[in-house]
Amino acid sequence: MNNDWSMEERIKYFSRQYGAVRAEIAKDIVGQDEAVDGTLIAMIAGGNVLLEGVPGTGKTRLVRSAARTLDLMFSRIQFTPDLMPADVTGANIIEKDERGNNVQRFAAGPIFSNIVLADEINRATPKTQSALLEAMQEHRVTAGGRTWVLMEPFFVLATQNPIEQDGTYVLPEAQTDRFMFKLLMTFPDEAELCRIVRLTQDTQEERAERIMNGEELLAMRETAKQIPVIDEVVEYAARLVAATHPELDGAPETTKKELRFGASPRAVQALISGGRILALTDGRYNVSRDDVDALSCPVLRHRVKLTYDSIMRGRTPDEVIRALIDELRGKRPKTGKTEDAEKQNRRIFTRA
Amino acid sequence: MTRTSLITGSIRPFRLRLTLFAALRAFLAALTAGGFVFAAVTLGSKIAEREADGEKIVWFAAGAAAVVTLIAAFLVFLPSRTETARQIDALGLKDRTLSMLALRDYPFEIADLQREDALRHLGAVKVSRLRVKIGALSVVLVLIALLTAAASVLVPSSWFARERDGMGETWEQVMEMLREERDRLAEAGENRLAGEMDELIRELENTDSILRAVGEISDAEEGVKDAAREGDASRGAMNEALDVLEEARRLLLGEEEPPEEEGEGTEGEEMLLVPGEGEQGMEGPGDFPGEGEVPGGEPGGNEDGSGRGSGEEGGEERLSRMTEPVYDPISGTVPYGEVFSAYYSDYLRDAQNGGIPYEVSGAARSYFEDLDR
Repeated sequence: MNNDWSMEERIKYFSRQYGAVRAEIAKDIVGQDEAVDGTLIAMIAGGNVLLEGVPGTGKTRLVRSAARTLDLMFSRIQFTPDLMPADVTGANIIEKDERGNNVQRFAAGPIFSNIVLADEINRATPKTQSALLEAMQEHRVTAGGRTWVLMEPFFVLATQNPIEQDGTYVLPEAQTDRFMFKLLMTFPDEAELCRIVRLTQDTQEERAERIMNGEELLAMRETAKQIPVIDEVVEYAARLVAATHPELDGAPETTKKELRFGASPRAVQALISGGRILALTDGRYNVSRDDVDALSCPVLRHRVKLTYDSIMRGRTPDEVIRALIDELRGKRPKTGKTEDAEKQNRRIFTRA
Repeated sequence: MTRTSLITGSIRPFRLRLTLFAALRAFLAALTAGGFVFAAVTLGSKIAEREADGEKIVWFAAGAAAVVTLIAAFLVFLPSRTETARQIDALGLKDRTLSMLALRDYPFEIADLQREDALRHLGAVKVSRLRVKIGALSVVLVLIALLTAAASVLVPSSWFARERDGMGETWEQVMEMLREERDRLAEAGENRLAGEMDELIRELENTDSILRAVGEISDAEEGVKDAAREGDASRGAMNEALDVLEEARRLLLGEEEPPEEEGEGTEGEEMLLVPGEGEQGMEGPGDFPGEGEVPGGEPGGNEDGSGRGSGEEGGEERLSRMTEPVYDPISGTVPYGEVFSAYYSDYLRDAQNGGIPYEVSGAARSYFEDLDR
């Protein structure tokens, strides 16, 4: 991208590059539209992503494929109960120099990378999980009494398995709030399963090729920041997030009944910054309330907590969020059989 | 063309259409309000026994309500520029129009790009895609209002006729009699008497109590006599009016018609036929008692004491004695049927003027109610 380019040229470049990266990743990932688009949007916006899905749905493959396409340094940390914070951040070690003296040297951990895949993050202890907090939010690491600035772009893409919860540690609210999106990797349907088999018969290696580098990604981020957001849309996003708080005056009935805790202000920031990118990928120069709606489930589903009663009734955060949107938009709530949440998730980024 | 005029011009056709819809919705609201007011006034007049259906007041009230509602509703429904943009965006433009309006003074290139994009998409949208949104509730309300208005005209007044102490028919008979008398007096040019009669009719229309009605008749009698005294009515007309009033009182109190008297007695003679008349020195039917006196009253009769005379003379007598209670002091019994109205009239006047102490007002009311029973 040339610095002398006009805004129109930058936006055209943005759309072209996004489409190309999207197509490249599609060579390795079958379906999973929400996860792929969500991951790319979060990477452009500079956010972290929590991927949740049963084993074999392509979580790790998606991250590796994105790293290849964007030509970014990639590191993978397999989280286990005995993993220590120093295993993530790195530690000072003592070694002999050329003269045979003992010297202290900082051995950087796997966090020093562009893309960090924190695989099965919920298997590590909270202490180790919290080692990621500073890196995720401030893109810095403090270790051995010194603070290190991480290179840009920097993302943490964490995965967790919704089943086999024995021996896992639920992520603390402070940490889940630092994930811009929580994306669900759904189990593929029959046709997708067949395509996956054909795709992986020859080789397990990723097929995606390099499309651009980290600098270009940062330039795309700057372009997206230029997209104007009118007050009406910001107010709508704020209203939606405020509506998730049952303790606030005027909270909707749905919230009082279904939610224990609401989302933090970071959710509004995520909705707006994600909305800018979604608008550009849709060929628009403005963020709309539809963008906010489309992003609401990935942004809010890990930031709200259902009441025990709702959990017992089998409600999901996505259902509650959609009900809140309907309420805010003045739409009549859907009656009859609730559509399967997974099917709805597939459509979350589908554009009109 | 300036940027603002370009933006305004692009949404003008949509705004015009929405204005038309606002007018339509306002018209429906006006129809609803007018219909309900029409029904309310018509039914209200029937309940108050003032037949107003089809009269100007009904149409005036309904029309005024409709016009006020039309203007108010139109102003409420009239879309602003932002609301127009919102409605256009609902056609799938994803807040492009709203953003265009909001960014019209934004000086950056991105705003120009956004505007061009919005105008391009706006140009592809047909104005006819904007559909009027009239809720089913609005339509139902209009229908209910119109049906209620029509039904209010068709509902017979008799549905709302007052019971009037269980004397509905008699009451109507009395009212009819009084109305005829009023019309007759008016035709005869006895305007003051006609006015007295009209006032009585109005009072009775708003009264449910027989007791109160009888009191009002007594007041009317006083008024009739005052009119004659002050020269605003002829004696003959006064007598006829008093006869009608007396008949009205008799009907309301359920008294039997007095037997036909023979002779040339005047109306004044009839009035003096009270229990114990012989002891008061009356010489016979049709004669005034001459020197005989009724307690508390002036001697009646004409100049020669025969008791015979013209109706005018009898009227004079009656004029002076009408309100005086007549009873037999020997027997000690009081003919309540005759004195009741005068007493009750006095009671009502005192009650209204605060002349009855609070401690005894309840007892006084019970007393008259018991008498009436």
